[in-house]
Amino acid sequence: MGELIRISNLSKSFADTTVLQSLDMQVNSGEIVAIIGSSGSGKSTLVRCIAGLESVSGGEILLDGEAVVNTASTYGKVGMVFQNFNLFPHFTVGENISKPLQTILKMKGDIAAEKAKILLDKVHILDKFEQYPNSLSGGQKQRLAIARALAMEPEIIIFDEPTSSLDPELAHEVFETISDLAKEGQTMLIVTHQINAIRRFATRIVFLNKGKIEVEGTPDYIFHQSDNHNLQQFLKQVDFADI
Amino acid sequence: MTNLDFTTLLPYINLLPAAIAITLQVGLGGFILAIVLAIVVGSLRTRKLNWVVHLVLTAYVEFFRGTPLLVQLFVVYYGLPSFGIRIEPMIAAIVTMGLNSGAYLSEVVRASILSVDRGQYEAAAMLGYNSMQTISQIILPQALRIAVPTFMNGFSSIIKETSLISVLPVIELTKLGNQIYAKTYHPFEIYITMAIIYFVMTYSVTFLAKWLERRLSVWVN
Ligand SMILES: Nc1ncnc2c1ncn2[C@@H]1O[C@H](COP(=O)(O)OP(=O)(O)OP(=O)(O)O)[C@@H](O)[C@H]1O
Ligand SMILES: [Mg+2]
Repeated sequence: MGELIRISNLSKSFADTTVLQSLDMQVNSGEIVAIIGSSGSGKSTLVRCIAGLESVSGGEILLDGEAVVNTASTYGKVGMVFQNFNLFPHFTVGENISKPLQTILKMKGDIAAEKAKILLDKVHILDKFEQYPNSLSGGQKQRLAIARALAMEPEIIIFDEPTSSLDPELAHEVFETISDLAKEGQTMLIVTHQINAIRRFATRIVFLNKGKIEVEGTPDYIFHQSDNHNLQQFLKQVDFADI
Repeated sequence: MTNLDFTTLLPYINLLPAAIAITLQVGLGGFILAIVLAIVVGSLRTRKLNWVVHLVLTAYVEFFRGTPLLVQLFVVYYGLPSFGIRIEPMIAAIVTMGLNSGAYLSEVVRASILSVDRGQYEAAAMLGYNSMQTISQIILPQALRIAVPTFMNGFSSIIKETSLISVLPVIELTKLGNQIYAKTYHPFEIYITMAIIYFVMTYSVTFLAKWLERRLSVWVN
């Protein structure tokens, strides 16, 4: 498995608050890495830096060996699924997928629509093709967002708390979709508080604390072996919240 | 109290269509120019600009919002010829109305653009949209949807404000009214008729606006 992302000595500050400090991390193709940590620990900031949505203050992020400086360095390679979906409300469900294919990949309209149908079928919302996103449930919206990201055939998909604004049943639907992608070998980086949902398929879990990687390892290591105090405190809290 | 006599207007009724046509031409021409200006200026003013461009655009918007339309008409039609720029009265009217309304509507476009969620830019950027594609295909369609009601109000205002161009050598509705008045001395009959014609025009715009809004609102949350 090839190395896809290498982060060396990354630091990131906003004005005078340091959010990430001298952070090192790698992601190989085929891995499913979950990032956990308490609120404010820098999870979003880390993945947004990787996506090119935030500039870094120090160190570097290499994607396929090339430095990430902005979204122009990552598009086509990194797909992003946001907590609040960020679907395009003025496009139909089908167009949310086909329009970017036409605009960015210069695909013909009918071919783009065909591809949209295949992807919508895959996330089980093909029947919504002609509707607008405002008529979808939260879970359907997020599955559309996943399909839209998949359309660009990215090397990695980053999820930033994809289920945090959803009810538990809807969150379950979304994790089923993510689990399907895992079976297909899609490389993913998933920030989530719902750690029980991802422990089945995450190949590695990274615990972030105060802008640093405190512990990382397999789910088994994270849940059963590590005796890191901060991690154990954290797990106690979310276990409680996650029921 | 005089007796109302609308029949005194009958000999002049054949002049009405031309006057209405001029009012509509100036109204529509000014409105189209205003929309184009509003979208271009409004979009530009949401971005970081070269200071000269920034200064020019700000001066344009503030000047046209801060001075009376009537004075602007005088400046364009009577003032510019002093610099050798002579403009047809119809063109002067359309350009001035367009510049004036464009200044107001550009602020509406700007506010509408700023009200579109930042996440829309991020989603577009992650898919590979460049900044031109993002603004034209993702942001503006959403912003303009928000701006449509105000745009249509702007159209009504322009139609009403065309009465000011009666100060130029153009025979639109109000000027025609003045001329008929000079011949018949039946001011009430004349001006109430003109008022009703203006009202029918602006009221139709209201209907058009409602229809447009309904069509555009299918996707609104
Ligand atoms: N644009 C910004 N400007 C200033 N400070 C920011 C900005 N974005 C994040 N921060 C700060 O950086 C810190 C880490 O934020 P971040 O969103 O990365 O945390 P997180 O781990 O994702 O938290 P959560 O679980 O609540 O989403 C916080 O203290 C936050 O206030
Ligand atoms: Mg976050």
